Amino acid sequence: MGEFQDVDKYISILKECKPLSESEVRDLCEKAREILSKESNVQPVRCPVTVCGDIHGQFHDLMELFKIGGNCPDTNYLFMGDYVDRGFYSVETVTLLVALKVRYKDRVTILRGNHESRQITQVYGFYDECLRKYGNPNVWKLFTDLFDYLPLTALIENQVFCLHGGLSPSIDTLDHIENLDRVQEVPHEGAMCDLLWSDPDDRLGFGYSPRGAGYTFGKDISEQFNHNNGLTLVARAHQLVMEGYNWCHDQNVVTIFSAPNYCYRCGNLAAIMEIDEKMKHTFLQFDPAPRRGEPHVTRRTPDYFL
Amino acid sequence: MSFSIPPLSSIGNHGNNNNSNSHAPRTSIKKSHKESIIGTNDDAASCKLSAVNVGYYSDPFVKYFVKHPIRRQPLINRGFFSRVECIEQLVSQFFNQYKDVDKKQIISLGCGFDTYYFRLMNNKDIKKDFIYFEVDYDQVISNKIKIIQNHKELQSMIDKEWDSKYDTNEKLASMVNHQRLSSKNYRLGSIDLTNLETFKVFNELEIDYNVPTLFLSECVLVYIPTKCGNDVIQWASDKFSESCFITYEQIKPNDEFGRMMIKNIEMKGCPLLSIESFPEIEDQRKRYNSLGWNKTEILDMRHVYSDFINKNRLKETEKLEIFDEFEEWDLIQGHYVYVFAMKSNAPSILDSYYFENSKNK
Repeated sequence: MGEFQDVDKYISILKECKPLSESEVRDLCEKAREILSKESNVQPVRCPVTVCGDIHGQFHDLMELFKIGGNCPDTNYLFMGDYVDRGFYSVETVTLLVALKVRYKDRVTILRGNHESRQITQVYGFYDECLRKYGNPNVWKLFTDLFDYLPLTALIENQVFCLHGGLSPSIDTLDHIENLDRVQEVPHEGAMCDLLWSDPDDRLGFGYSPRGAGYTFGKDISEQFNHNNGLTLVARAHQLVMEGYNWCHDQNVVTIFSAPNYCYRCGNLAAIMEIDEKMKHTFLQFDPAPRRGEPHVTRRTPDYFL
Repeated sequence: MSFSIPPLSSIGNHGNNNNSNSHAPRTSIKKSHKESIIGTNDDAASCKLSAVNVGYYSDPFVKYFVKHPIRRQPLINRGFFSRVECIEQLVSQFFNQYKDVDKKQIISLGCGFDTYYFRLMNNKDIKKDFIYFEVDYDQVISNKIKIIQNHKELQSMIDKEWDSKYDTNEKLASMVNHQRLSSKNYRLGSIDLTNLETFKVFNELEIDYNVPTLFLSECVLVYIPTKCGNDVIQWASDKFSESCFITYEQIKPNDEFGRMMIKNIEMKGCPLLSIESFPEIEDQRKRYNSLGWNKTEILDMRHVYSDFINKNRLKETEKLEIFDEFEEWDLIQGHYVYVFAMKSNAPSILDSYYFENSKNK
């Protein structure tokens, strides 16, 4: 038990939505790097497992997610990235998920999202939040250095392929992904960038993405990819969907989004996808956590055009 | 001067009337609500400054109206850019329609700390043959005048065409009295848009009811009771024969995003009092058409952005920031509209404006 004494302490602090000290974060990130650097670009995952989409610093809604989906380690989890930015608690959220990974490395899988990057976090809030909470950017640096080690994709029982964004014109097979050198900042283009940035679309083939990174990909691409790789499904996150999950491409692709009332503004449901021992999937939808636990947030309302 | 208020029973009465028997229609607003509405000026100015500082458009004046500059998220910057750009393109159509008329008026209702007057004066390509009226709550107007008095960069845009026998402060002093500023091109006065009696301020500011006149109301009418807003729209169409009325405000209160928007804005203390009366684009169109306007074109901000705003401007501005908020962008922009209502004795003028049909321009 001694091995996990520190991490158990971290987890109990974090579950109260309190940030760790800088030195604790440093310790945690070192432990996490050890584990993550051994993981594969296509990390194999066993069922049963519960697959989750974007969280974006909405800590209290992550607690709600665990209430709905079950606690770690009773439930195995696969998170498909975007833990930070936008919400008010990116620090607590990402620290907790990394701590759970360290504590239960075979029961928790955390992938990289396009927001787990140095550049994006400087625009969308994580950097500023670290400065605000620690008075210096050291914790931001520790985490963004760790993000380079996060696996890009996961494969559940060789059937369900999970990743943050979507498919890439430079990738036909899972072997291509295995061969990528992932330990780097998310590049502006190329296969690694596409996996974290692309979106499914009604138009066939690959198309220009308005996001300025990644591509749009059509039903033909998804069908071909699943067929070539013996997959039943691509599960991805990255896009807000009002019901929390959304099927497309004739059920070849599902989008899962796990931040309810995204940015405290969008009014959407969140969802997670449970995959049981028989690889049968069930979606669980949930509303935002009641906000009584965060009195100072209720006075903070999101921006509109006033 | 008294105003006759026409019966408006047919307009804006659907929605929100589950309890129509127990609630008399609102015809005024609370004091705390008024203060929150005034607070929206600061917020809008701060967002505009953020967009300007990132480089979306140029406005050397807005910084004087913001105490604590903060950088807003890209979605807010881009949204304010599209809002400002749309007004500029519509106003330039208006100027163009009446380019042979040597006097035109712009009336900004609930102007807040908007700086459009200063930007127009600063633009060498625009003929200075207009008078710009700004009206708002007395507190806003006196704050705005104070800020102008404190910055010679703003003053220089006002007294440009005045003779130089006074120094600037004296000149300004001669123009200012009782929360009013009255210069050749720029006139500020206080008003309560929920009370037509206070519209006499326009006479004091020497408005001309017989020249082409364009109204601007950005996030203004939606904060006041439906009937009061109707009175304003009707007053404008009654008084002016060659005229446009531009409104920017929220719609679609009934979907998930809309319900959250209403809740959040209510939490800011300034509920959207008339949004339920005009939930959809067609409700807005009916409102203006039935209140004396000849033709009303409306686009939601998604379409303003994709179809109306100059494509080259989009190319320039889309490079400025990483943008990763597309779904949210579509949601929020889909909940704001520009209403462009027109009135003219010349059918050719009505026909040559373009807004809804701008896709092919």
